[in-house]
Amino acid sequence: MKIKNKIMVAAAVSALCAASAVPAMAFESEVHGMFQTQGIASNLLNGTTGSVDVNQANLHATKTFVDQRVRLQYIGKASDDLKLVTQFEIDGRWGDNSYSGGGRNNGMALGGDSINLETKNVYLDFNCPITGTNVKAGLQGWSDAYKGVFVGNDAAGLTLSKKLGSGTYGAGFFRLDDARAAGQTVGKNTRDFLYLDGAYAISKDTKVGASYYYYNDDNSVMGAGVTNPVLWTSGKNVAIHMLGLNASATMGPVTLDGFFLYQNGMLRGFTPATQHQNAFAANLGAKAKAGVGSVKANFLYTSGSNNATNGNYGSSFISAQNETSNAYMESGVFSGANSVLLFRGNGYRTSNTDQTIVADPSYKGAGIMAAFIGYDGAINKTFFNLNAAFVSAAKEQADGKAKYLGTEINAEVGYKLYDNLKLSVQGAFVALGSHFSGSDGAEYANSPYLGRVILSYNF
Amino acid sequence: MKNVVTLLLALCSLLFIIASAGAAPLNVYVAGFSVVGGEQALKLKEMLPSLLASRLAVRGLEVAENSSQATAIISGSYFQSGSSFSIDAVVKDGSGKIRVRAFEQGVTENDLLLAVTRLAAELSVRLSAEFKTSLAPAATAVPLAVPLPTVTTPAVTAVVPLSDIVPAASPVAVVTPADIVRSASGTLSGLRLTGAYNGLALGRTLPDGDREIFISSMNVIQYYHQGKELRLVQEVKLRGDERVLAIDTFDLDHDGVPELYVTLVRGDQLASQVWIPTEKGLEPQASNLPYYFRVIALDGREPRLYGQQMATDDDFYGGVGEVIKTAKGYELRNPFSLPRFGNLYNFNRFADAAGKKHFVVINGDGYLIVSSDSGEELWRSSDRFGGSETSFQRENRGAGERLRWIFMEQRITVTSSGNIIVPKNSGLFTVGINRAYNKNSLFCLGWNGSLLDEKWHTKEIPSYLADYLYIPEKKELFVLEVVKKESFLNAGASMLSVKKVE
Repeated sequence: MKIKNKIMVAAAVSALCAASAVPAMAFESEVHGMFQTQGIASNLLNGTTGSVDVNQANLHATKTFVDQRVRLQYIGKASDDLKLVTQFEIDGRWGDNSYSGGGRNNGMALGGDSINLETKNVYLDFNCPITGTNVKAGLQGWSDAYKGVFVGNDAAGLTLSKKLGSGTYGAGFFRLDDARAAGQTVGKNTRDFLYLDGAYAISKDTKVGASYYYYNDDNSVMGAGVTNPVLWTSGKNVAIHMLGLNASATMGPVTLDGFFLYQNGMLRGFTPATQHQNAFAANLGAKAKAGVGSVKANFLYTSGSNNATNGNYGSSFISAQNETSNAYMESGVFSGANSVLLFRGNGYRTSNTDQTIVADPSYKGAGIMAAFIGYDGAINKTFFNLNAAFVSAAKEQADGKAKYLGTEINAEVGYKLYDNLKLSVQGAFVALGSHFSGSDGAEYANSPYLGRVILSYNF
Repeated sequence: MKNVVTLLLALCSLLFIIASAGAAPLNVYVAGFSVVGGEQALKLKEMLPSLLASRLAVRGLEVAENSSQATAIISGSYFQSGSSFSIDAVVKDGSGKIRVRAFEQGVTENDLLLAVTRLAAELSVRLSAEFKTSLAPAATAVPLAVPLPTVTTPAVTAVVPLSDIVPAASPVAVVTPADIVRSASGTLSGLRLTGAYNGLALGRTLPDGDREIFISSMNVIQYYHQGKELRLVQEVKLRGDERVLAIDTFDLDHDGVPELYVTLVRGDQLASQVWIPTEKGLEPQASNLPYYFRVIALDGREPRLYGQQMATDDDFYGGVGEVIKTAKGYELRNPFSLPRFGNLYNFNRFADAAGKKHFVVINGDGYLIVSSDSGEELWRSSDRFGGSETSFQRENRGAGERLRWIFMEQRITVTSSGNIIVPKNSGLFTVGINRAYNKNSLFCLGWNGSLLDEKWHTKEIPSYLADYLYIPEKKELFVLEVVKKESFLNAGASMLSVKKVE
């Protein structure tokens, strides 16, 4: 039986489980959500999302934006073992447009009244009454066990997880794209992802995990429609096997964690020839209690090719990026990163005007070598963080540009007006590295910066 | 000498006459009942006085044939809506002054006889108090609140649910403020405190009669002596990054001075503390302990101090164990597993009539779930109970939401008689991380072999119940409520009160 057919059989069995899990109980509704608005002043961002070019013209102009985002999650719960989870999003930049008949991220101009509801998640979440396995089927949020360095995004698929003793085991299938390009056959030209994850708690503070991932893209294009980090144009066939190990341990006030994720793939359709890929990503992280908060540090290395600018990706770590929109950087961003403008972590992916210089962990195939250090703290209702990030390309390219991309310092201080309503101000400054020196014919007189005020409500 | 004996005999006779007069049964007359609703209104109108009269007679009251012979005249009404009904009685004296009001209600018509029995029981007690009259000897031989047998054989429960009978004998088992929610004399009644507090614990009763009271807010612990008034002995301000989740008192070292166990998180890690109350105030005994603490009386027996741990990814890790003090510090002994959804703060255990142990847990949605010791779910409530606004946040190590919220839960108390006391906070919108409770009531439930049946509940109060303690020897609830929520520019306000419930 072919693997895809096996997947379909598994899906059918899961559907049977779902059918038998329906108890005779009342339906219960649960609503969660968030609202966030922020006023931004920056010379780097230009009011959209994705990666951003570093050039003198851009850096000369300070722009101001106000954006807002609301997320509404509705959960229809039949029982503890069966629920339907949906999540929707409405966001836009103040003044973007109005009376729009359709399209995301808009409707905040005079008059409003745009059709701008986005669907983030729609999935069924249930426990199989036969095996006790948790099943999620549908468009759902999922992250790999490697801090999202390969994928951490919303995707449609089927996931299974089961806890047995001290071990937690997971398996799943996602269809990331299907017949994306014109003229392709639905169900034939697809981008699929399979995973097997296992984690074992040796003690309450020590956990180890291992994974096997398989990624197959029949029509790969990396960064379509995005001006900057285009890895390759469409029509490629990419198949990658991945093996990973991860671990975490707490020793007194210090928690250490890290991972190693190895990729072995075939990149077909490239010129001049099919490429055999050998690549990896590695991380070491630490968190230690200190004073009224904790010190956090993360080091990330993703392997790169030294000739990626000429189409050689044999040593480039590849992550599963969006191939259908300009929101290229929504996926595959490392959650251990604490920078705002250089390389974005999950904590700073806040709205629909987020942009960073490095938009994916491969950095155009050159790889990344980055260190992040920061301090998070809180005193009563006041919270703050101070971070520094040092980011370099892993491999120098044929164009001879230096590898060092820049150093960022950012800080945020905020106050909890209520337990779930926060007001904060944040500033970020990047000292551009030698990589950008003279890249558009001139030394940069201006360094990228950002200042913003954020009002955030969760419920 | 003869005169002395004669005088003594005369005095004894006089005392006997006085005593006999005092012991005379109260003469009551049961007048008519008005009946509204129900299919057999006419029959009910006819039967209710008779039913009530015979039950009053059994309880030692003398039932007169006409009102002119009676000291007290009882009239009443019966109202039925759907299958639910209420019987209300009014007792007037000879001058027409209302002396007692009482009512009973039932869910179905099958409850009618029991409701009349309960009403008679309540009236007999309150009439004797109101008219200062003892009941006849024959009646006093039947204890008013004697618990009926709790054996629930199928034949009996099919006809008469015993759970309906047992609580009803209590004169305070209804939801009228005057009856169920009484402030015990000499204790606290609605004492207002500045600040929104989240935890409550009681210590010793001191030689001078004062009681030790501890209350906590997010990062403050206050130590009070309560005598005629509440006196603050000491306030301990914790670090700005510490957040108190719960406080409990327990005399772990058996020195007669219960220690104060403060469960708190520093950042997102447990860093609990132990304090000892002294004459000067609170003295620290231990800190930075990686345990949650809670005092629980499993099966309604002697309270013990239990603990649970936290792991890197699990907010409540491993089983719940009894806390013991060793030379090295504190350890958990004999950990046991909890049923699904259970953690240290949302469970208790009770024994049924046959002595079988059952766990009761409030799940994440607020439903009470009773499970057998093998983990099988036996019953779950249709109403939500518990509900706490006390929470802390932990960081998710993977991608997705950066922080997750963990909410604490209200204490579930099991009394020595096997009943379960649990609060019920409610509000307009209390789902997920948006907790804003503004009404509360405390419920007493009893396991009838199949489900937890309500015994009584306190009047609904328009405030958030932050914590409570049940004092079994006094049948009192010591309640901490937040009457004004904390906000940006004000500290909020809380209320301490004692509610007599049985």
